[in-house]
Amino acid sequence: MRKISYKKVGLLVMAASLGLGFNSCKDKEVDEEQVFSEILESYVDNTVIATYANLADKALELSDLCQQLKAQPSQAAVDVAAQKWKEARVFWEQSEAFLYGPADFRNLDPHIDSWPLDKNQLDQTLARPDVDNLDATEARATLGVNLLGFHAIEYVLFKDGQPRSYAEIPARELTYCAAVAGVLAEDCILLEASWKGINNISQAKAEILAAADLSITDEYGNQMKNAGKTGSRYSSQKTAINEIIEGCKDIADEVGNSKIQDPVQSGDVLKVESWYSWNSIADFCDNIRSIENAYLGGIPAQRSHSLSSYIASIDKEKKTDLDGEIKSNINNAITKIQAIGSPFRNHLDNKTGANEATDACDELFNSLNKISQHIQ
Amino acid sequence: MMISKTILGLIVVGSAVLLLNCKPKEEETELSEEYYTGGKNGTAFVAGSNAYEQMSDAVKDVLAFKRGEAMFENNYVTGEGTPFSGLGPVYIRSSCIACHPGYGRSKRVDNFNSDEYGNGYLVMIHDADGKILPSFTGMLQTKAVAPFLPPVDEKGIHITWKVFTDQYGNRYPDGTTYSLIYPEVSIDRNAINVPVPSEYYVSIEGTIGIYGTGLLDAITDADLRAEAQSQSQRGYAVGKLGPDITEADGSTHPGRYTYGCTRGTLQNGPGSNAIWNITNVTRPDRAYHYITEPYATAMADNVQIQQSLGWTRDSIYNYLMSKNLPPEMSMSEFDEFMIWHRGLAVPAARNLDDPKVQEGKTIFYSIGCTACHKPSWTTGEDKYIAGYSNQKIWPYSDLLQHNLGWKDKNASPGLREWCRTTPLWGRGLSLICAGHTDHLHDLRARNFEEAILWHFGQAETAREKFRNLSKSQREALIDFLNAI
Repeated sequence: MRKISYKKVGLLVMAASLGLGFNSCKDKEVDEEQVFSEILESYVDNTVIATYANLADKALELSDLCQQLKAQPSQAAVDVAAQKWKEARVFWEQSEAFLYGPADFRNLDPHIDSWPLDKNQLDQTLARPDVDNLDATEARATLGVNLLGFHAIEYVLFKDGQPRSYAEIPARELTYCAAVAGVLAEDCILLEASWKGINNISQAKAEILAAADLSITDEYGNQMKNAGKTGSRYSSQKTAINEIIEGCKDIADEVGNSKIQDPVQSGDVLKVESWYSWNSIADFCDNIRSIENAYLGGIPAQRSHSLSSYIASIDKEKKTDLDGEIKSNINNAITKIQAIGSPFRNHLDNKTGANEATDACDELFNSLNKISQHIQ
Repeated sequence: MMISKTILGLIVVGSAVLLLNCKPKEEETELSEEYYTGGKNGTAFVAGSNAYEQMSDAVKDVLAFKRGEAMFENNYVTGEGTPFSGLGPVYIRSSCIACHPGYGRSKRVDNFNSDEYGNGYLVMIHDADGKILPSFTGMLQTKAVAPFLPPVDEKGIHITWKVFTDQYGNRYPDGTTYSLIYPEVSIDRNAINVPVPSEYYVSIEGTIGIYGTGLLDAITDADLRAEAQSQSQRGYAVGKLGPDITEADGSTHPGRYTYGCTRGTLQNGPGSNAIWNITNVTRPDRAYHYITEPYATAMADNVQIQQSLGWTRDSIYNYLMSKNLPPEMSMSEFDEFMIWHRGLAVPAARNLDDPKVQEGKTIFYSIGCTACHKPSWTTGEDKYIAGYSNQKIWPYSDLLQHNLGWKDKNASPGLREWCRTTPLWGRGLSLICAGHTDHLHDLRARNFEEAILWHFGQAETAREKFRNLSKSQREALIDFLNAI
């Protein structure tokens, strides 16, 4: 396994973060300010907000399906809710290249994706008759983060990698599931609103936040778009561009060196995140796709201004191919992760495959580093 | 590709020029040492949201660092047999990061809700002299695993922010006004589930940052004692050396960590203790609960708890007070936690070549700030991370305690009439990393300006000089604080 050279990274990143100019001197500065503005706008609107909007939409659908499941339990209702859980999960995992900002400050990451689930406490909770009356408001107020989020819903809807048999699910669990799915939907809307602005989300979503007494004042997307201007926490456009790169590097590192290596090195299946849906390989691939979206701009089928085109233009001038290298490393990481074998929990003995996947993530990490080097 | 430090220095020096007009060749200059806040081996050149989370290049075992990091970030859970299990029976928070948003300091809050991410307030219940009352642990526990009860139901904790007005009516000589607030904290008697005397007092304290603490550990005791000795010879702002603390191996070290200088080494420091006493996750060298005897008695005597558990009074008492509990965290896991803790790098300084920052630096050095905010130290030999040895580091702290005079001002100092000088390195990144700009031990200062204006007592002379600066000069000083 390759050791990542953090020191090199640091030096490169510092050069970027200090708001420095470029080696090339062809009256490019004004153009570059424009290019960076376009990249930041595209990243905020077409990647981050688009992903969170999709996540919120899917989470709302999931919440509705869990309510229907609670009202009229059936195998078909479990199956369709489980499928929707996976669809929502895609957009959450595809947001992990931008876990900074509101996902962090507002405690939304642990609320949405708390892990591990506190199974012991959950058993105690589900033994309480008053949980028969649990709703989203009560769940938010009384359940700790260890009993909320995707993995709590996963517990009710899945078993051994498949949708659960509806006959096995006690009514109280369906009530719990519907309540927690309601909180999840609210939190996903909050995430979208925190980037987009509370006044810029749909009326229906705004009403859900208001009913849950959830408010925000921040528009984090504008903070990034207005980097370098008064009122933005980003002191320069370079700092904001660098934030994009750091977010991508963080998740590349985490997938390779933690999410894959921790379970493989310990041989402990309980260290594989998705205990019940066995969805981890798909999750890891979607994490890499979050890097792809941040780098290529937009989301699939809706690409726009991007770091990729900027790097390609630098490549053309310098006769290098970093853009090609990054794209190739993204694809390679996904390929190598898939090659470990799914479900991941049943392939922890594939150390060669896991190490190749980790190496691929490290290579992606290292190629992302070079972006800073290209924009000195 | 490796970028040389020379090239980097060139870039930094030439930056202002490069943005405005292009010159064919720049003069090559080395990056000044002050940029390397954590020394050449302990500094991370990252200035974004993850700036406090970086691994120092001196760390050799990357995967151990990552596993230690996971212990910091993940929630601990109740029960046993799963990753991160062992939480409780009574605890303060279920994760470390809950109190260290973005790996930084906790934030100021209006209402005490331990589930609110970033609310890292630790609560202390004490007598008039500041002594923790015997029913309570030094850091109050407000969470418990059913059927146990927490010593205090946190719904009964109240924080009131009061306005403070100084002798100048909170007005600078140039007419500009400022605002200062401080907390008063109370706990409803009926929220307390353990014996408590008729008179009790409550204080709060925010968590401190984590990065760079491994480097502070590498400063020798001799150098720390020499600094205290040197200050004792001067006629102003004499710092108080932390008390000698004897470690498990019999060695003795002056306290250098926490506001009260209550911890002498990182291996037995606030982090290594917190991973045990915040969560009550036991480990071989801590095979007992962080718990008080009056609490154990109260829980054991509670009939409802006896019935719920199906245990006798004595069984409950003996379980809670046992000194031989099975470990819920192994020593190798703890070692990895410490590799991560020790290995967190310090964010590099930024913008030191900016003229306004340079003006601020001149002011910082001329109005008395450096008397306590000692800019740099040189570390000794470090037995844990070889690369931390003999590094010139820039924490801007003398690691001694000073009196900021809040008691004299009747401004509710809580337990901390004397506070260890806060290291200032990296604090300018708090907004982007931790989402807030709160400072001082109870987070009463909402920004750097308020923090400076809370410097009474030993620092009042410097405060006066600050107040008499022009607006532009005050801003320059704050720009410098943001840069380091």
